[in-house]
Amino acid sequence: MLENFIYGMPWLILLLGIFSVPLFSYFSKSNTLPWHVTEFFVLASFFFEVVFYNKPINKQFFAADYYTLLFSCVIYVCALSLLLLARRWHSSMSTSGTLYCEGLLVGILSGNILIDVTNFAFVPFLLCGLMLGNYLIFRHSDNKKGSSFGFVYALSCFVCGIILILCSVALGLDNGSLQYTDIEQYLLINNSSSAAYILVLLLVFCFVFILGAAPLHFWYTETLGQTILPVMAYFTLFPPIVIFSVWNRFNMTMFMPFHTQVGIIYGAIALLSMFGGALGACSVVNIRKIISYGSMYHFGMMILLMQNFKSGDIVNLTIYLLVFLLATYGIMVSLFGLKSKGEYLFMLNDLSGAARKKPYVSAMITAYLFSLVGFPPFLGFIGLFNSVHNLVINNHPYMLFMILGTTAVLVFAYLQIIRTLYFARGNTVFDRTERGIYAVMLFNALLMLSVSLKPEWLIANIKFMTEGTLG
Amino acid sequence: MPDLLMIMFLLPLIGCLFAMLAPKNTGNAFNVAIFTMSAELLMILLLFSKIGDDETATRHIMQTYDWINVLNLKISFGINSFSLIILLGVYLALIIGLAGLAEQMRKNKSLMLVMLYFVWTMTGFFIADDIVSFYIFYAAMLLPMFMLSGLFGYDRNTLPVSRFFMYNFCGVFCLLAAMAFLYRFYHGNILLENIAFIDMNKRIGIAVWLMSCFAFISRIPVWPFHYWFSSVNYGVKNPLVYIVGNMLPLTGLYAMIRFWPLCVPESVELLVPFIEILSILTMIFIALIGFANKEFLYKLFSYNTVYYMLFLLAVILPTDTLKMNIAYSLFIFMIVGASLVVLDIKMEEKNVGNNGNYHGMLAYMPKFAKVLSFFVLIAIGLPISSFFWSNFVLISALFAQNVVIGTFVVLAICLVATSLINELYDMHIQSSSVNQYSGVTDLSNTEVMFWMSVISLLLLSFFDPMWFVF
Amino acid sequence: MIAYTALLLFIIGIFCLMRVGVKTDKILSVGVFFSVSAVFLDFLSGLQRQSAQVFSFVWNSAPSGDIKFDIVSNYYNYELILPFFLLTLITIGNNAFVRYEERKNVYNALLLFNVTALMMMVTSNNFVQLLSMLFIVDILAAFVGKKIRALKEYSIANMVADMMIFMVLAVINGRVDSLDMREILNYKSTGRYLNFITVIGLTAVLIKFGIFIFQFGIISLRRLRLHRLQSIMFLFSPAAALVLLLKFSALWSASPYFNIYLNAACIFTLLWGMLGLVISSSLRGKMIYMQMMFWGVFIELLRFSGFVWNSSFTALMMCFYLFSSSIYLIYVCANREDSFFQITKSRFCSGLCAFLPLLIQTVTVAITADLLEKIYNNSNRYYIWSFAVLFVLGLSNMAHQTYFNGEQNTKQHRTESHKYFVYALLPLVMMIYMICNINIQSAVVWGFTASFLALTYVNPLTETSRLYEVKYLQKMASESVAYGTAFNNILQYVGRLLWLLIDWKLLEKFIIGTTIVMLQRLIRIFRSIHSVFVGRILFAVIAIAGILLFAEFTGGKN
Repeated sequence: MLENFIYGMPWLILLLGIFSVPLFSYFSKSNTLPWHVTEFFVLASFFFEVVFYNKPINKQFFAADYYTLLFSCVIYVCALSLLLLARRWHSSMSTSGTLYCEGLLVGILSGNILIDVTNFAFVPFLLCGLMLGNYLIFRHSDNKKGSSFGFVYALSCFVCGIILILCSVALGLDNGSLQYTDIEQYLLINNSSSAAYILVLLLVFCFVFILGAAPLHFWYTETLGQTILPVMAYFTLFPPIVIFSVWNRFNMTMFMPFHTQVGIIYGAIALLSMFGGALGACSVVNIRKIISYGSMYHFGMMILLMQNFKSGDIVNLTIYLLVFLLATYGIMVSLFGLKSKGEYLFMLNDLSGAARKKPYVSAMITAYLFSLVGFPPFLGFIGLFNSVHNLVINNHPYMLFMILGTTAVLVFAYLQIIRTLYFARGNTVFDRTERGIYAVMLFNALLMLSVSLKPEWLIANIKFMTEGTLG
Repeated sequence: MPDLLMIMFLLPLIGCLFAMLAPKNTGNAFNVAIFTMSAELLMILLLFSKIGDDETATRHIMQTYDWINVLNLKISFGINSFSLIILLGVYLALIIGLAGLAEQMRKNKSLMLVMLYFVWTMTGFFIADDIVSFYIFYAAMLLPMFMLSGLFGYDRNTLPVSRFFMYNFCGVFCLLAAMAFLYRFYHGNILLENIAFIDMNKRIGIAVWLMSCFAFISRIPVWPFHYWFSSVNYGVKNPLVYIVGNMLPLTGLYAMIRFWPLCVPESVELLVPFIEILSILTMIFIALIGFANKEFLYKLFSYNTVYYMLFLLAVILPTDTLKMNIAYSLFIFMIVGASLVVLDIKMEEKNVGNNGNYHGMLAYMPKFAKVLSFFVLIAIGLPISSFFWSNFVLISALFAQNVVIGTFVVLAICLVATSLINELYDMHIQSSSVNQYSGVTDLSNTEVMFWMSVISLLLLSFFDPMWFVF
Repeated sequence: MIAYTALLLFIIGIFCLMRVGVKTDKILSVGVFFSVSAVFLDFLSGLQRQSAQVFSFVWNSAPSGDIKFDIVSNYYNYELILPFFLLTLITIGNNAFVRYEERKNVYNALLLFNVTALMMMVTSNNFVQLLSMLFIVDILAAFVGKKIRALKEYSIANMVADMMIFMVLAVINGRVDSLDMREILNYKSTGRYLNFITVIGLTAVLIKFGIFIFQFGIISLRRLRLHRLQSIMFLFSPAAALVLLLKFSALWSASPYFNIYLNAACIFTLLWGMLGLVISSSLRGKMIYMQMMFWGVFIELLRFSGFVWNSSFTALMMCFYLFSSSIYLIYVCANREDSFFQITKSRFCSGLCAFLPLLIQTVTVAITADLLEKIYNNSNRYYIWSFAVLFVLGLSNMAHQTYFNGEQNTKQHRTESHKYFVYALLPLVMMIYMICNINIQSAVVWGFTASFLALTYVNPLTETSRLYEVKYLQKMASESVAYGTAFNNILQYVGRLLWLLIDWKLLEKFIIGTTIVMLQRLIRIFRSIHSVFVGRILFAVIAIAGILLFAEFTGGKN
């Protein structure tokens, strides 16, 4: 029992953090204290997660292997990076970020457990937890901006949660056990059952909704363009890590019996997301919206990589995801460096000619955007090459043309940003960029560069940690 | 020798670093660029001295780097006389472009930085020996090209540059897809020389070759894609940008040469007539448009296109003996093309306020007139450089293959040559109207010295195209 | 040895390029003349030796074999080079002693380089050498011309012709896979497209000669100074064309089109030349048309003799050079007046100046008659007779208008008459040499000479002088032939039309425009759907339904 308690330390610390952050915030007048407290709890949780990476709290319900370690680490690193940026944003705005910290902690906790869990009974609640975290962060943005996206999101989440819980209950009543492997067996036997198929579809669309991929992106792309920068960074970076880690596990277990139909649906969702993302990115003049639509495109690309239901594809997906995270984070950091009169800029017009005044920030944005579309010699090339190779190996050559078409449109949208930064003339007076931002930018760039020079390090480790762990 | 190759490869990046650290609005970055390019030239000469003027197509593989072991991905670099001489042409063309920059532009740090980055990608491209590294540098050079064109090329709308980039991106993506197929069938990275020997079924073979050919031809201004090139080259105000833009077709052509196997597989044979017809169509079409166009820059574009098409037709001939002739021609072609652009833009700079009409201007600039005339004469293929007889050998080979193609090629060459000569004479002939050029300054003595050295280089090539190899 | 001669001439040419003062230049030009004369004498001694020697070195290598640089010294080559060298020497002499050029030695250098290149052409055994020298002759011609405006069309015409020759050689090389000139005869047995290369090659040669209907290049030279025009017409592109014709005639004559094409071109040239000579009121124009007539006859005579060069052709060339010199003298006498219409108004019938042209013309007629008699045979009799009649008519008309029209004018020429004598010295020497070789007892020679003098006095074509006042005719005769410009214009229109229809309308407006519009519409639809929340929800619902239906219809069951 004590042993299990110790193994559960990462989650307990996060839970403690969830309760203590509001208290610290309530009793302290400092705006920065909740951030430091959150950082402390996240770091502590991260430490225990790494130390007990192969010790599940309960072997029946939770897994603890390299796969869970990899995604947990990514979640923690991502969360810490987000905290770093969000703290800077809030300190420059002199506002409190308690709700953001709270939402992030809830998200980390739910996400972490979701990665480890092997019993479907927890999944609806954990997904609801993740959505709750997302909602809190939305609320935080609403408080700052005076908008009401949080309400719409909460309503959608509520519907989603109810459906998931009902599914779980129905499945539990019918099958008895809700272990993934047992459900796989159950679905294998009932693979002609419409109810089972609907259950799988519901779960798939639930993931799609949380990700913000097409066609359930109604809350994502348009909304993020109007939220504050830390919130946008969170929604672009954090949920995909959790969702794809869980989705992979589901693909290898529960969804396997329906892989033919679901594979087609993945393909359709992927193409829709890619087309929608690329077109959407072209249709807007708000850099945050362009990035959001771009992310939608990349989610589509990642979903496309899952459509073959092969364990080897997880490596490609993970590589693509990590490259996406690094590049998008780089763009977020760079956007933090583009400020005028205390306001963070997001309309393209305001960024006209930014390269003359902020050459390094603009250069970073350019490099990351090119990386996102898989242009060599940037790291994104590895992700794109793996994806294309994957499609070729799995005999989907026609998909190459789809990717070509959509990527070309997306490239045009990204070029719009670069053209504005470099070729347009503007008279925006930019604020001095903080050294911290430059430091983060430099670190991120060095990381990208080192991985580009020796991708072996990334690919071999991912291959080692993911291949064969899910089935 | 491998060390020399790596030094040559890394030098532009080191140059980039120094250029980045140089202070703003001074000539330091320019000096760094010139120094780097000179060092690159020295490296090439050293490499030549190591491999000699070995005129065979054999590549000396010098460096292999285990990039991603898990994917069996090894990067190989190598070189031969063929690649070296083209690379030398590229460097010299860029040096000419640098020399032709206006004083204000020489102080532009970003320009030097991007230019050096471009040099790095070009160097990597010419020394790449395997398909992955080849692809990487093939695609990588688009970014500096885009930045150079967009940032320093125009005073006007940069939308054509974006479109051009997207169009090239499609080509690059096709090469990526072809590479993925090859990777699948070879189970790892493959040397370019071995591509023809991969056992693929016919359908896949056709698909792979179609994609590769599209990827390469997308870089060469073949009709109807020439429009992208003309729209980007038209109205460029910076010689370096034009020269860089004009190097993209070179990369497509070089890629074609590297990919095109000696024993053409059945799947490729199907493509040959299409490429031939397209090339001929393009030659005649562009030559006629160039003939009608009043802009000297457009005439140069048309001239470049016609010659690129000639080289393309020579590349797809079923013979391996013409490679060095293509290289000799390309070497001169790059230098002459760069020189003409620099001179034309210089003339435009001197002619501000005359609505772009500089007819009769050369009558007031005797030194300039001599230099320009000389380059035009070389460009049209008169026996002043090795361009003349190398082209003769190439055209003979075309005639041996197909007289109709040969005739059209000569017709197109004749048209562009006439067009250039016509323009040159118009620039010389003094107009009877008011003399608007009386205040125009001629070339300075330093400039004359510079151009004389370029001309000497070309003249010496007439006697031996590899005269610099000892 | 020709190689030795060529080297010496080249060295003298380089020496001539030295920049010196005007006075030194004059003195040096005399020195150059004597040096070249010495080389010429040495050359003549080589001519008499008649032993074949070959100077050869490998210049470069190509897939078709080595590119060799050969200078073959044999009697035939000596004979062929002789007229070019001699004419060059005369021109250098005139340049040294008469006011030809301001910078005499630069002009000399160009002439020397040209004759060297011609020598290389004549003696070449290699395509690349032949082509290189051909191009070099044309480049030098462009420098000799100096007056840019006049040279434009001439240079372009020559370049087109050179490209045609380039093409012919490329075809031959492509077929026989050898760069050796001696291999071209093998092409007859192995090569296809003989008619094609004959027509193309012959057209190129005719363009370079300036023969009807390709005379626009030569006619555009009318703006040049007369002595430069004279040099170009004898020593540059027509000389190169002559060498080409002689080198390739063996191959081309195997084609049935060769004789027909050449014959037709020469006959029309003769007629057109005669017409131009009578109509043109410009002295330069007259010289050009006279030259056209000459080359027409000359080529035809060459054809009759099976394209084998002999001393008669050298003599004929010299003869016509002297005749064109007489036109130059008229020009000088008339105070460098180009308009023949003006010359007819002012008579020059006294003094050395006036005497010289008539003397030269009369003797030229005599020599020509003698040469024609030597070449005369049954197969060419009509042609020779018609040429003789036209020639005498044309000359006498010109001589009559010069000597029997208008008022006497004696003011200007007397003061400069000594210079004319110096100018006429070399031609006179040549004439004396030729007179010694004429068959004095020939009735044809006397008949012709007498006819010329009689016709000069009577002039049956008196009324033609009225044509000088017809502006339209003068414009036609003196400006480039309309089709030269028309051809240029047509190409320009085609180019513009292609640009407009293909580049602008089809590519920019239709393909790119349509793509952009389609993309914009798609984006607009996307935007309108996503601008309102309900739209986004609706889109989601419809898309999910669509996806499910798609999966249902395409997926099947597991």
